[in-house]
Amino acid sequence: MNARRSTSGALVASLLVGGALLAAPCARAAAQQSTGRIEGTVTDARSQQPLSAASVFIQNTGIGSQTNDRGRFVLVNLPPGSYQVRVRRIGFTNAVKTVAVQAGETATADFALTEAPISLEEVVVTGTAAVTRAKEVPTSTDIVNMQTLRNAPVANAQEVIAGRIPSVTVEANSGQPGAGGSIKIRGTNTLTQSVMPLMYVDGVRIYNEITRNNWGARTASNPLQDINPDDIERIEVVKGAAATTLYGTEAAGGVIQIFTKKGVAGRPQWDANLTTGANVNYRWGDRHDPTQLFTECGDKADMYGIATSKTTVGTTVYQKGDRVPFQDPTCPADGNWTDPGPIQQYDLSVRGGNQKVTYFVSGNFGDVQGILQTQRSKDGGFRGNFAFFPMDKLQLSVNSAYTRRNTRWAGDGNNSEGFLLNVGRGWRGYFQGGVGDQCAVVPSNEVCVTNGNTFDQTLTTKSDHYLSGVNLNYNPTEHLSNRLAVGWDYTIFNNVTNLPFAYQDFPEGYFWDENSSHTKLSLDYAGSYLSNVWRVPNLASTFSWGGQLFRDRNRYTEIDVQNFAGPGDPTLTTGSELTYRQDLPSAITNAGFFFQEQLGFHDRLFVTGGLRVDGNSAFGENFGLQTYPKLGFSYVLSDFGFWPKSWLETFKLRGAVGESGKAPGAFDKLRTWTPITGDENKPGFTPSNVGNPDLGPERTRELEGGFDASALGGLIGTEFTYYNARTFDALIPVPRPPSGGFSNAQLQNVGEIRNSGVELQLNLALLRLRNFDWRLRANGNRMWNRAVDLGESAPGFPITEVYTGLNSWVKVGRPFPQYYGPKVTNPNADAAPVIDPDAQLGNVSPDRMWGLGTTLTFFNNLSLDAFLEHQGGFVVQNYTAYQNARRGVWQPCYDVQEKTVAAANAGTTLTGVRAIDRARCAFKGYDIGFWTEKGDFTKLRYVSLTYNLPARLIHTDRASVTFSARNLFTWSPYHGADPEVQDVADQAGGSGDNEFGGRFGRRDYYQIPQPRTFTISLRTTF
Amino acid sequence: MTRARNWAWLATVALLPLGACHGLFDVQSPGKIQDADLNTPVAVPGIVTGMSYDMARALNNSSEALSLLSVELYHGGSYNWGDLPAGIVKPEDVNGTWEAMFRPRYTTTAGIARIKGLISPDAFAKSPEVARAYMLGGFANRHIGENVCQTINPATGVPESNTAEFDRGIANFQQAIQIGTAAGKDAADYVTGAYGGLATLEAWKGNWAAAATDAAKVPADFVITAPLMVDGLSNTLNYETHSRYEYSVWSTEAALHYGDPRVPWDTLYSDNGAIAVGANGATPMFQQRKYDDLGANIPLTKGTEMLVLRAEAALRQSTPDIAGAYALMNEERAQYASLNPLTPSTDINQAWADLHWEREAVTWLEGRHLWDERRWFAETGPAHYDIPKTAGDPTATLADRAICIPISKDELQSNPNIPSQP
Repeated sequence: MNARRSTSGALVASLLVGGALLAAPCARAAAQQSTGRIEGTVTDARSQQPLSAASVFIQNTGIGSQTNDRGRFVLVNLPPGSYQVRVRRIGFTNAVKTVAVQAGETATADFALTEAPISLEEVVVTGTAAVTRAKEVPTSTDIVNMQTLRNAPVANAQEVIAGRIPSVTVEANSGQPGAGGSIKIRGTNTLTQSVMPLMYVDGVRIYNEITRNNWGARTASNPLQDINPDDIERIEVVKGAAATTLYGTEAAGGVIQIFTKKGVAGRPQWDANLTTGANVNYRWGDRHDPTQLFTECGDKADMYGIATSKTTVGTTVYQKGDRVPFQDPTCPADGNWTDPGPIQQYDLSVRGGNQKVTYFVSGNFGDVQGILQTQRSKDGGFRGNFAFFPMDKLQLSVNSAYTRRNTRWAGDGNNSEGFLLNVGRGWRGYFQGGVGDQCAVVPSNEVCVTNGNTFDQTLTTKSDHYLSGVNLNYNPTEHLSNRLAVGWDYTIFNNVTNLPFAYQDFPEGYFWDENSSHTKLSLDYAGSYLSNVWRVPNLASTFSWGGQLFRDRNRYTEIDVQNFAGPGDPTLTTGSELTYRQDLPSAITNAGFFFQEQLGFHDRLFVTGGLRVDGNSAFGENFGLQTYPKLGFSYVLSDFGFWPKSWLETFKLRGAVGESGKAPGAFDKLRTWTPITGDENKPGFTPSNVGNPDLGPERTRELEGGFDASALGGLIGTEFTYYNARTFDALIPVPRPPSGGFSNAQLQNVGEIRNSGVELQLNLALLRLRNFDWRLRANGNRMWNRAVDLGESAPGFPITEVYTGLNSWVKVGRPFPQYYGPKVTNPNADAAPVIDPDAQLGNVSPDRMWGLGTTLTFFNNLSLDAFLEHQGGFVVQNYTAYQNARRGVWQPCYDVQEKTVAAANAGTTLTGVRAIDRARCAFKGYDIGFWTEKGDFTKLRYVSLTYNLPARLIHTDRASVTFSARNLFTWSPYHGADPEVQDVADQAGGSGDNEFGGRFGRRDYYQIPQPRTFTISLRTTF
Repeated sequence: MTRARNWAWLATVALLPLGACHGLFDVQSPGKIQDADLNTPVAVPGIVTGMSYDMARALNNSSEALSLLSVELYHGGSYNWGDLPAGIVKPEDVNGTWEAMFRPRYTTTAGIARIKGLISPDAFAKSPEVARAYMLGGFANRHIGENVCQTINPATGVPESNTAEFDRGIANFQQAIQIGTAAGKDAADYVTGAYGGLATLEAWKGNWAAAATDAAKVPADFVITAPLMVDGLSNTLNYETHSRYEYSVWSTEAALHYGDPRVPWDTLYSDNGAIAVGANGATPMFQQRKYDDLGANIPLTKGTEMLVLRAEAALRQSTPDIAGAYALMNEERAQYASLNPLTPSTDINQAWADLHWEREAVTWLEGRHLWDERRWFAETGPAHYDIPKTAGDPTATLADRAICIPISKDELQSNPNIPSQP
């Protein structure tokens, strides 16, 4: 509580200081008559539409601005003279004009930019202080410009990148409002450590791991959920070790850089967005769903299961194979558990400023209800981005944000109190018999289930996320750049589970309070020096250096209380049995420095070499520092005179090799003891981790090559990349001889794994007519990996496989992680199943993905957007079907089961039933291996229609209305509700044998699928 | 330009200490108990409690495998024990059992060595906690030695005879007695317990006279246990036979002795009056009642066992003292109000048969019977023993069953000192 108050105070203080500084320069405006200004408009040369978010700056100075939504910019307080004004905009070529400024006058400079799907002059982030153009970067650069997604119905930053960047896998975990997902870049390159990429917001590193929400909800949160997409200007994704070397240890999983909107010199510009709509049940319960899962509980004719053995209900005896009817008196009056869930979202922002101070301030509020009665997620927050220019060569920016999210969940997943687990299991669920006389209306020969009582529980997650960063950019000369960033990122989660007194499944009541907090402090300095080395003509040098210090503090506590005396709001002190279960603090410090030299020849060939040196508190005491080298080149062939620029205007070859790492966990190096309670409640210690003083990071060395090209006057833009990564010193849990006392496996740097893949992006301007424009954006990738070496448990004793949870394994020489288990080898035969007991069942995660987006624009004011996403090459463990089938409540199995029992009773041979169905629907000999199904899916993520209201109808600068729909259709061979969901514990778990299953294993275990979402939005700028 | 370059190097030099600063990378997190944290005298009670916990855990975790293998319980559940209930033990079946058995050997050995460095030699020599640590170490040695086919030398990691544990155990018990005696009444129970442990190991080494002498120092009503708790390390056999129906007394020798208070069990009935079945849906559920709640402790040694041990020593005399043996067995039976004394027989075969059951009954479900089977089955003459034919296994004989725990698969795959892999 104190921490929250103090953090709120700090944030408010920083905003107030920012506001005060904002106001101060205004008072001095009158004194600036001795200077002049430049105003102008930036437009699209072809459509002549204004271009917002274009950077306009005076070369070789710190003076600059951005265009607003009307394409306008202003540069003020300019001493009289002649200036080179340059304009940059993602997706367009640069433009430069010489403008003369006179004292007390305003010069005009309008720019018309030409579209360029591959713009090598774009500025990208590389971890150094110097401005780096895309043409200089030896690795692939992926940028999502939010201008292009203005009409896309995305709720957070996670949805922004999903499917839009090759090799970026976003794995969602539930259809519950408030649920997040995990992110992987270029597949899995570690067996034991987190696969999540590093995340930066406005140059400040933030906590980048997923956090489990309320246990009963079986979902997780991702830090990207806390970033309002309306605040984002662009997202850059840095993929692979060759590109992330300068980020060092912890960066082998890639880096996501988010840049939020900044102030723009000029009058205040307000943006408002009002969205309303509804979530609608899509994937189960309707007539098109063969599983039914009893979500239409009013349909009594369908409410039966198959008895798996002799069963007595009241006085009625049902034999094996008989249909056992059931009813649910708590079923809603309309006979369906689901209802449309309203959505509302409000965003308001303002930005403006002058040549000395700019500001962007925003606030947002959202309220999203799910399709089940308890599901509701409310979030809101505000952001203040202030930039100060006290000197021409100095820029100070303060960026602060706060987000709060309050979510109430429905019980979900592998949870005996879960909604779908109970409803889906029909008469075999946990909620039977009801409370009081609920079952009086149910005939005695039918099972009375009372699943409505699952909604009596309260499962909540509250989170607060504070982020503050101060960035100082000081460029004392045109050759020297310095950047200093100081950041503070703090997130606190509170999960409360309340099974109230008289709750059906726990009448004495149960109250569980969990808190987790994450604090990341960062100090990041980088400098660059540009020079003409050795005074060789056309040879430019950029020498960069820097140092970073990151300190993470995490803490998880949980306490529960049960046995309440009576009803009423429970607290931790109103129950008779209080248990303080866990208090898990940890801290990690990482610090390092880097050097990089880039040589540019004729501004078309760039060679970059660098070295990163890191220390980390998680390294063993004997380990010392880790070095990560890199070397790369970029060759812009299209800058040669011979190049056929008439049809292939841009072509860049690039290649790089580099290393980055992944640190072990905070305590992995240490010999530790677990506290225990023995001797009738006395404290004691038992061995835990044996420790490894030589422990170091995993190192990934990646070779990457590819090209960027655009052709036919911007009609086609493409990027292709091949990468091949080798992770050595991979951290492998090496078994210890149990006779030694410390039985837990110890992480050692003994493994080697390989990842490779190809990535392709394609931007097509299919039609560019005066009143009709049709664009296509496609991306795709294919990934391969395999475990090369898992080390030895002792000399001469190779480790051939490592269990990674939930039937998933990493095996030497094979792709990983994969599921292994029984498989029917004659699936379509009308015969008894022939079973391979240890078959390779398939990949846990997709190994191929593509995204396809299109935009059709009519008359420059009506546009239709659609986005299709595919994930393939993986299988899903359908635990919902598996658990239901063996209990006789999986409707697609009813016919098989009735035939099987009838044949057995008659003593005849079963015929007319496929072997796979016999295995899947069996009452004995069942196995999840039979229900490990192909999970490939293609989803129509969204379709939106936007109409820009004509200027004559509105009294604002700009207004548009957007109708959109998400998750409209899914195409998948998967038999469960949604191949994309998974039980969160599989993601948020720890090591391979944790309580929930492990790091890699995923399973659909009665997860609530993603609903369809329909919204209408009104956006206006004034 | 020169000035700018100087700036650059100045900044670089300023940052370098970040990486080199000693202590910057020290983990200062609480929450995990680091090894060095235990190097303080105030940690000694916790270290010894940890030994006790690990000993209790060893007995508890091995209780399932040992009771199934020695046919004290019948597998009537759904857990996949492989062929172990049928007496065929594969290394992968005993990973958990093996690990649990060896942990207290390590924690007692390493703990005693640590304590020696934390307190003065004088305090060490008369510390009740040290006496207890040695006693627990002795029981850890005995538990391993009685049940494994081969043990692992703690210093070299090399496999060796299981009887090596008996030697280590004897040394530990003797230390416990010496230090406990010096410690006085606070360690009296540990001394008595150590005599009980010592007596058994002397017996297993063939020194039955010394065994009988030391066993006589343990009062008939004495018992020292490995403590378990309802909330925490709870009794596995209670859970698996009361909360789940995994194991039944059906088809075991104890099933033939319904009403014997040393092997308490009862038939469970379902609502319709039929005999309840185990989790496998078939095995009649004869529920053990020795461990009637989750906090029930498992005995380490007790006076009744000492009486039976002395009885066995009497039968093993060159001229068997059959009458003396019966007297001791009846003294043992007298500890249980509902038991009648045995009618002494003059037949040595009958005397051994009675002794076999008396010892089995006294040590029932305490992880001891497999060793008795092993040593008695190896006997020729009247001491020879084989398991009874039962409904579950009408042709049962120890000749077809494993009578010790093999080296576990985890040990085989991680210990470089074991010559060959399976």
